[in-house]
Amino acid sequence: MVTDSTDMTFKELKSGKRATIIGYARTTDFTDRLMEMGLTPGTSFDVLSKAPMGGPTEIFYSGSHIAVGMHESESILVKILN
Amino acid sequence: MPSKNNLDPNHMVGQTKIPTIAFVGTPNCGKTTLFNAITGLRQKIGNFPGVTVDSAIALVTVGEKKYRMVDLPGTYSLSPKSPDEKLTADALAEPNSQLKPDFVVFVLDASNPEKCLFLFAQVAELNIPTLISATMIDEVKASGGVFHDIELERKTGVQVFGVVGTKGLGVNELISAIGSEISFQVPLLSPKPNSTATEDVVQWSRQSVGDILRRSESKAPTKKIDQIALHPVAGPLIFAFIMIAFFQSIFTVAEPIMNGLELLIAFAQTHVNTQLTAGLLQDFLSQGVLAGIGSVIVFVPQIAILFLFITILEDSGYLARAAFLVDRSMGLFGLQGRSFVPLLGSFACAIPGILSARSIPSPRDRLATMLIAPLMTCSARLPVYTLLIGAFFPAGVLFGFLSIRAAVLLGLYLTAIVSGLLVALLLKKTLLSGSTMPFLIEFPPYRLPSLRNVSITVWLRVMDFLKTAGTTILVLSVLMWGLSRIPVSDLNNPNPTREQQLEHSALGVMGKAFQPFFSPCGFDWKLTVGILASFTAREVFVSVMAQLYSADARNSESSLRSILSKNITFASALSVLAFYVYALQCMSTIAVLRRETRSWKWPLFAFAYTFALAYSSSVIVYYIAR
Repeated sequence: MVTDSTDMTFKELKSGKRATIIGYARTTDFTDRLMEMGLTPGTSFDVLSKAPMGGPTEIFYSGSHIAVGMHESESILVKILN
Repeated sequence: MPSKNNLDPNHMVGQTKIPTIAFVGTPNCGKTTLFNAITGLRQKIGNFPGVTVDSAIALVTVGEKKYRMVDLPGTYSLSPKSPDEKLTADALAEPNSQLKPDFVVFVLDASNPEKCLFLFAQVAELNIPTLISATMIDEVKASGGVFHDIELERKTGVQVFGVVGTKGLGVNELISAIGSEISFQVPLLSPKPNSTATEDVVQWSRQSVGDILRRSESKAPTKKIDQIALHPVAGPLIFAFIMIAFFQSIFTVAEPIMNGLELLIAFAQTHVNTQLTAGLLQDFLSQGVLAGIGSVIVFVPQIAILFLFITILEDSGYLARAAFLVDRSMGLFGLQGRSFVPLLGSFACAIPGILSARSIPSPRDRLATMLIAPLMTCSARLPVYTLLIGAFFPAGVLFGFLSIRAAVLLGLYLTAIVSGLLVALLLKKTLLSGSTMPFLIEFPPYRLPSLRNVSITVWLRVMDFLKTAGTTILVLSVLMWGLSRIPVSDLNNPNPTREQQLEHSALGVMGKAFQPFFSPCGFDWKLTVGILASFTAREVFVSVMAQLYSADARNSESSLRSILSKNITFASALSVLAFYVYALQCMSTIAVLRRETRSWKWPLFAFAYTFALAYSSSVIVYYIAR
């Protein structure tokens, strides 16, 4: 049904997009914590802003604003919604 | 089986054991505000995740019974990722934990309960009698949302008490609930999560939130403010503007108040000099006590502004955004945004700064942050800086707005920051290399800082400062005064001047003995004494200068700054400034480093490298400026 959706990693996301977590490529303390903070597979979020020079990305989901560093963010697998 | 456990006879009025109540919650859920409201303790709070990094303990009497209340650091789960979270997990789950609670007050942020419920589900498995205190209910109402506490009670199996910690609303009801221990019940989740796997528990909390909280169409300004505050261009500019405004205010706002205080102390000294007959007592009061403490007390306005600024940034929620903005730049030095807050805190005092490094998950990042924290310009350096800058730099204005003195001060701060970051880079490339957990931080909503909390924090910090002035600095001042009055070497002059007496006093002889070591830095024996004495605490430098240079009693009426500008060369003054930028002259910081790293190795390393930097930069500056 979502024909125009694309799979990619968190790192490639642009601000202003809406995406869903598909899963994690690895399990680390970092991905553990993301899950514990509610970013489980199936959770959708808005990409709000990206810090300058490839800094962290701010996302919004379930009432929370969270900043995620880019280092290791390629292990977060996402799907663009739009 | 609800409410039965608390009848355990060991925990009752037998006085053999005082029941422990732990305050548990996610980071930044309003836990410490509530804890303070209940215990009357004034714990440091801020609108930043990870402000509580150490557990605060208070003995509180409710009715006729005593309770030991413990404020545990906020955590997202009981599988800890950083030392502060480990403290909480251990306190709750370790079988022989000293802090093991008999009851839990679970603090839940009603405006954003999902992560709180996730943590609650984990805490529920420990079967400790619990009650929920829901904070921020005023914010939910103000934004037009509805919070169903009955529904929350049904989902969790424990009683819910709504509070507004900042205004003290509902706090008395909560206290009496704590006093009647039957209010605590062993949690019983309903419906139960499918399993204890993270995914299932998250699903449980998300579904529960749907029934507990009806959010209104978000009118919260947070998103809108962030569009500007985190904008790739505007964001860093705003950040720079805030930092410059801060340095500017230290001089423009604090200066007039400081001048007033100086006049007041000079007035007291004149009063002592005229009321008492000249002699040892007059000299002791005027030159030992008043010159010593007075010279330090005049810096209260600067200290107050520093803490006012940091507290407002913290309480408003901006600090977490600042960490976001600087994360990448810190990455260039091998650190990450998480280190920003401990380092910023170190500008007030390295001790809370080093403690807050506990919220950094990676041990290597944490150590690197702690080791460079003493290089961040703490408030104890401020008196030394403002004294010397005020004495040796003109009051003019640069570019039409920035005062020259503020610019010099900013320069000193920036030198320290850049040096600190370079040291961090060096450490991360050598001793502390290795990968780190990526930056991950939750942004609190923007909030108007509460006048109450800001004024309490500033007040407490100023009192702390005055307490140091009244104890350490007073003792050292009196000691210095005594040493400067004991003649040890012979004077061949029957009518020595005050200056000659000073040179032949015990202090003078000691200063001269050490002076050769510091002569490459351009320090005379008086500066040498000042530098050596300030290895106990930096502010002591100012009081020693006041004592040594206002030797002629009539001089005490003109300010210390003008006396120094006539007695020290510009090159020596710059050299002293360079020394203070780097030197770790603080016993308490060494003690905290020793405690946090559980070894003498790192505090000694920090002391040695900062001393090497201080000495060499001081020599270089002196030779260039001479």
